[in-house]
Amino acid sequence: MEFEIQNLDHVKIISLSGDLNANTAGEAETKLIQLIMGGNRKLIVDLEQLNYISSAGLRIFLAANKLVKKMDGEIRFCSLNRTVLEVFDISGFNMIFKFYPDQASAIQGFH
Amino acid sequence: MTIEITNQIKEINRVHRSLDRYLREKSLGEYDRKKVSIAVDEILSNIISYAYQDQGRHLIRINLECTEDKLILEFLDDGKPFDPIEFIRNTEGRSAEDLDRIGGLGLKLVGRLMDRLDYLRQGNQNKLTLELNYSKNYIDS
Repeated sequence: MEFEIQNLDHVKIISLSGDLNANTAGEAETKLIQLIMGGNRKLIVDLEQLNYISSAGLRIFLAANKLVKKMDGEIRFCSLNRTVLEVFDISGFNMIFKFYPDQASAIQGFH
Repeated sequence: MTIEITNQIKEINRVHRSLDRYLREKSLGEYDRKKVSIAVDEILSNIISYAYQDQGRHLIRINLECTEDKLILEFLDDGKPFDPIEFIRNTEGRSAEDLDRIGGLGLKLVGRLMDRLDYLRQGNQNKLTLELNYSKNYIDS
């Protein structure tokens, strides 16, 4: 799994690729939590290149969300493929997070 | 095909690799292969993390069978008795945050991504069977 970070003004864009599963979630969580603890509270997670996500991956976003909420921040997702969208829907992530079709629409209104 | 692993999270990678090769040989489409990967990740990480009450080494067996339109996955472990179907039923309607706290997010995914689940306790073994009605060469989008 790859974890890339881009800076765009006060927003961090995290692009994940590969499989986010029981083996890879720990490393992704460490990076994500470090980013948030460093004061970054506006995050866009781009999942265009993510192959699939299992519950180990979902849990890192739930943990990260608790942290950013305390900082009055937000995590937004963009570019979800069919499988990821299905997993998010089943899990009820649509009640917690906002999804956008691409980075440009996710960035809008985020400043 | 049969794959045997020991109860270590890193062993799940080996299953993913063998399974992906097998499913490609059987012409399962990308969308179905991803659903199977998720289900396997959930079931094996559950067994490895919660089934054993000792620190010992345990074998987990995964049997795979592919018919013209159906994939059957059988998981056998010698952990404590655990009926995932009953667990899914008992946690129905819980939010993601609730399931994260009490456990069950992964099993909810399995219950919805697979077409059929069967559980049996046989002697000192849990036997969980998952079935997926797949489409050949179906591409994700």
